[in-house]
This record gives sequence, C-alpha cells and structure tokens, in this order.
Amino acid sequence: MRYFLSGKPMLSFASATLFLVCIIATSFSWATGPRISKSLLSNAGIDHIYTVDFPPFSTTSLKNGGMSNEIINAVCESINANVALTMLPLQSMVNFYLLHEKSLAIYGRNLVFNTQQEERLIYIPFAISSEQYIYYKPAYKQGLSWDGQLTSLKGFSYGVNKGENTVAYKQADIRIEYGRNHALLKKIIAKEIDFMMASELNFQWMINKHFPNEGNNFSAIKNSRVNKPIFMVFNKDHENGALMANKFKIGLSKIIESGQYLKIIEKFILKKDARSDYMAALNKQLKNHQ
Amino acid sequence: MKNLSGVLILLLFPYSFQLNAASYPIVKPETVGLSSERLHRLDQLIDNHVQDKKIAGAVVLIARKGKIAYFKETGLADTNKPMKKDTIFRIVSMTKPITSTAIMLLYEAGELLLSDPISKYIPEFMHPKVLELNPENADFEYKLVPAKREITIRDLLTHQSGLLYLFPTNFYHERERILVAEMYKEAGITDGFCRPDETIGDMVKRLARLPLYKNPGEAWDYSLSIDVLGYLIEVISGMQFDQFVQERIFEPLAMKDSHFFIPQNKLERLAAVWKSDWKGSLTRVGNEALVDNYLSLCPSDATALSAKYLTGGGNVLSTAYDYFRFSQMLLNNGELDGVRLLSRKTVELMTATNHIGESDARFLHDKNWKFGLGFAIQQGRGHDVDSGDDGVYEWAGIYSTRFSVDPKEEKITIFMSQTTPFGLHFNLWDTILVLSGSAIAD
Repeated sequence: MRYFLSGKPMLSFASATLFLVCIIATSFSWATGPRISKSLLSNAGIDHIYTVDFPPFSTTSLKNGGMSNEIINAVCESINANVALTMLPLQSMVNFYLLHEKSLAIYGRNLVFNTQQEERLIYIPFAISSEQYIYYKPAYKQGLSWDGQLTSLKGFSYGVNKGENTVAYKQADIRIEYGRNHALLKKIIAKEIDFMMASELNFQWMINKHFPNEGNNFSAIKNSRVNKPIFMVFNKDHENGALMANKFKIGLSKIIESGQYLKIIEKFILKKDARSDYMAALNKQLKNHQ
Repeated sequence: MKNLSGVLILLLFPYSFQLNAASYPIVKPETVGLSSERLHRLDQLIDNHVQDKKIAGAVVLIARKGKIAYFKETGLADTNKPMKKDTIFRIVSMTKPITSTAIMLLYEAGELLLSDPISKYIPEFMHPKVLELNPENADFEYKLVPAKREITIRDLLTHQSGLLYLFPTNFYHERERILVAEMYKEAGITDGFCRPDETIGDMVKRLARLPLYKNPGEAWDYSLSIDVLGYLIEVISGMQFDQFVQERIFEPLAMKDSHFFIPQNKLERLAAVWKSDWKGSLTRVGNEALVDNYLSLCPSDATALSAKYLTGGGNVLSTAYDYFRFSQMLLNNGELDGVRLLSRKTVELMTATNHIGESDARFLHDKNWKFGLGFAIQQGRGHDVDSGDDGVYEWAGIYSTRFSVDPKEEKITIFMSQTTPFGLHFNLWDTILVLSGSAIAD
C-alpha cells in the first residue's frame, strides 16, 4: 500500500495490512456487547476532558480510545490524575464544554479561539498529526500541484471541518466546502471538491473503513506536508486548570523519557523513520511551547 | 350426482378464488359481514383519484375476521406498468411496527425489560444531556443540562426518548428543536430516508452523544427512536438487524415479498414513486433526491441490492398482502396460521395500552390519538378522523402507505401507493376508512 508522504512507499503492503488488521480487529463490531470506558462509569469526582471523534487518535471504535487517548491516559496515570476522556461528535460541543461549562480541558487539533478566549487557556502539545493536502487522481489525471502558496490553488474548492480557520483559503479565492471527513471524502470521490487537508493516520482509517476500493485513487499534493500539533488545552477558569497543566507537562516528560510514549505510537505508526520524524516534530513543538 | 354437485357448490360457495399471479385467497364479502356493493364504492374512489392524476395507482386491501374481502389494484405502478396485487412498495415508516415487534420478541424471551436504560446495551447513551435555552442576552444561546433520567427501551418504543427526527423541523420551529436539529446535521445524523454510507451502529453512537431535545418520558415526538431500536436488536441478539427480522418475523409469517433489500428478480415489481400536487400534476420521480429543507427522500435507494445502513425506522419493502399477514398476526393476538410470534398479553401491551399518559401522539392526527408500543391508538372522538372505534391502531409510511387495524370489528384496512408529498393523501385515506367501515353489514 503506497504511503503518500514523499512518493516513496513508506509502508510495505504486508505491514500496512497488519496495521489495518490490528486496528480493525480491535474495532467495535456491530453485534457485540457493550464496552465500558472510564468516562462512562460515573460522573462523581471526575474531571472531564473532551475531544471530538478523530480516529485513530480518539475514537470509541478502539478499545483504548485511540492514540491520543492512550497517551493522555498514560500521562494521567503517571501523575495520579483522575480524569475521564469524553469523545463527542461535534467540535462545537467540545468548545461549549470548555468555554461555557468550564471543563478542565479539551484536546485536539485545528482548535480555533479568539484572543480573549486564548488568554484563559494553556496549550500543551502532546502528539503530532502529520497531514497533507490530498486530491482524487481520477479528477486530476495530470496531477494537482501548487507552488507552496495557496494563491496557486485559486478557484479550486477545499473541503474542511466546520469551525476550522479558513481565512487564508478565502483570501486566496479558494471555495470552501464544510463537512465531516467522511462526507468530504465522499465529495472528493464524487469530484464535488478538489482537495482537503488530511491527517495521514485518519485518512488511512477512513479509506479502509468507508472507501476500501478508493485508497489507490488518492494522492498528495507535493510539498504540502505539515506536522500539526495535537494540543491538550487546559482551562484557567477551572479551579484545577493551571495545576493540572503543570502536572500534565511533567507526566508527559516522564512517559517520553521512560519510552512508554514510543511504545504507544509504535502501535499506530509502524515505520521506524516515520516515528523518528514524529518525535522530532513533537520535541520541536514542546520547545516552542515551553 | 345432482346431490354431489350441490354439496360441492355449498362447500365452495364462501370461497370465490380469484386466480392471479400470486393466487390470493379472497372471500365473498358477505361471508365476513361486509357488503360487496358498499365495498365497490372504493373502486370509484380510487379510480377517480387515478383519473384525476392525484395518484398514479394504488392497492387497497380490506380484510375482516381473518379473510381478505376486498383486494384491488388500480392505475400504474410505474410508467407503462400496471399496478398489480403483488406490486412491491417502499413502506418506510410502516417498518416501525415490524421493528417494534422484533424488540418485543426479545422482550418475551426475557432478554430485556422495557424499563431497561438503553445505556445498558449502548453505553454511549449514558449521562444524557438536554439542550435548554438560556435567557435572552445570555453569553451563549443554550446550556446542556443533565437529563432527569436515562432513556429506556419503552421510551424508544413510544417516541418519548427526547431524540428527534430532522424532518418535523419543517413544521415545528421551536428554537431548541432547530438547535438540536442543526447539531444532528453537523454530526451527519440523517433521518435515514436517503441511505447513509455507514452502519446504523456508527450513526447511533454519534447520535447518543448529542443533546436531547426533551427529557426522556416528558413528551411524545416522532423521532429516530425506532432506528436506535433496530441497532439495539443487533446488540442484544448478536444478529444483523435485517437477518433477525427475516428469520424471526418474515419467514414465520410467510411474508415472502418483504425485504430490506429487494432481490434482483423482484426489481421489476417495485413501484415507482410519484410526485403529486393533488391537482392533476403527477411526475414520476427518477434517481434524484427530493429535498425540502430538513426532509430528504431518496426513492431510488430501494433498488439497492445491498447496503451498510439498516434502519428500523424505515427500510422495509413489502406488499399489501404481506402487510395484511403481519397485521392479521396482531389481530389474532400474536398468532397466524398456527405460528405464534407473540403472546396475547404482549400484543395487548403493544396495541391496546396507552403508554404516553396525557400526551397525544400528534403526527398523523391532531389529538386524542394515544400511542402503544409501535402504534398510534385511537381514543375518543376529539380528533379529525371520522370513522373507527376506540382501540383502532394504525401507522403510515411517508410515500402514502397506510394501515389500520380495528380489533372491535376484526377489520384490517391497507392502502398502498407511492405518492409524495405525504401530507396530501389524508382525505383519501380517511374516506377509505369511512367506506370500509360503512361496508360492515352485520
């Protein structure tokens, strides 16, 4: 299976298949009994941290909740923090809990807050989502390219999740189409949208779950790769917000040093040099947010 | 010889078999206390509607005391294709009584209690929240408050779960409803009338984590509750929903033309959907989706031979005869042709017991219709339906398919067409009920 990072096959077919089998085998089947996760057991005495569904980073389809959830749970265990991770279908609900219910924290990527709101928040990067612009090859038989500037994609249509920052795209005269990733991929396949920014892990998940015959029909726009930080965002307006933010940083360092962090991401990022790139990107983010 | 002939005639007299492709047993109406002459008024009624191009065609079936006394097809099923008795229809929400029956099979087997919180089986439904509006001028328009209690299986069966359907937002404009409906849309929740490309489980698990419109048990609101039930049946039974219904309901009741996905060799019997303004403009709907604000219909989904999404709220394709068999099972208190599906007590609980207290099931009718477990139940006369007694139970499908069971008169009335929009056929159906009621001659 071609991994579109740099045009080189990053994943051999066998290892990619194994990865997918592991992911799918741990998935929740349509006809099994109930699964119990920490967040569902009780509301009493537990701080809730919210995020939006984003497999395989955060998903109820995986036993341990996905890569981000495993990292957070490992950090919290290392600092004896009693938190419940709740995954919601809408970013707007996640933001609601943070800003209006004053929840302890939220986590995710592409988080958009105004200046006033940001003053009340503490951002700690704890994971990386490697992402690229992707397009549908049958719609662009000669390929789709850019010169590194969004203006070179003027007139094209871009699929994005509701609530994400689209200012730069609109300024570049790119038409915006909102939707969930599943719907956006459908629209790309239907040639109703030209391109979207896709997390490589999430893209593989979505393709294998929903569009298994279309995997080879997607390609990445060259030189569009970005390493997006996934943030834990603590709420200064929560009584434990600042304290927990500090503890979280300490716990995160602990699990990185002990190798536990690497063991977690090994389950999701199979190739060693991809993991090296990942850790380098994470360390860079951690330095920038000290 | 004369005596033998006479005996044979006497024996065969009650049974005037009409031979057709499916060989349905139809009796002389008088043998079941109905008037042939009065039933024939239905011919004129339907013919007129077809001639006036209000509907393209229809099948009407009236049965009494377990026997079909009137069974007539009129007009077109599709362009250049006449309606037939065995024409297959998208019964859409007439699937809901079937799904309700399916969950009651599990109830009778002791697999669940109606008072069970659904979170027992679908943990995503734990700790539900209800959307409440904040006072005007508040920083934020709404708040999410913990629900007073969790949703139970009974709440789902009786549409008191606090869940919504999107399409009633076209008619009811409370701000809370609109806010919740918009969240549904953003989360990719649909009414299922255009089949999404995912499993019902994936949809239900997302739906579970969205806010409720009302507290469970507080209000009757037609909703995705039965779709959730379909998934619940999968979780509890361990079987795919369509497989469960096929093995536990369709096969035992010999409903041979009822399917979630039409077999290839029956495609030609599927009726087309027609768009009518009820004033003479009648257009066949092709492959296009019909979208009207919050309502989306995709009639062409019915031609799919398979798909991922199985909705307990509206997936089944069926015929008038098959639905008669299903209705007769209920009228027989759970048994048909020697096969017992449900006990009498369960059928009473479903069809003869009001589960919504003082609320009214305001969807097909204005008021004074109550709700059992899957059925609207007529009560009193403070509503807009002319005929029928207390205790009549019924439901409908969005392409103008209807059924009504009158336990007191042991009568079943079924009307099947494929006409949209739904809201225009009510007078026709009410008149059919009047004519079938006024044909009672004993």
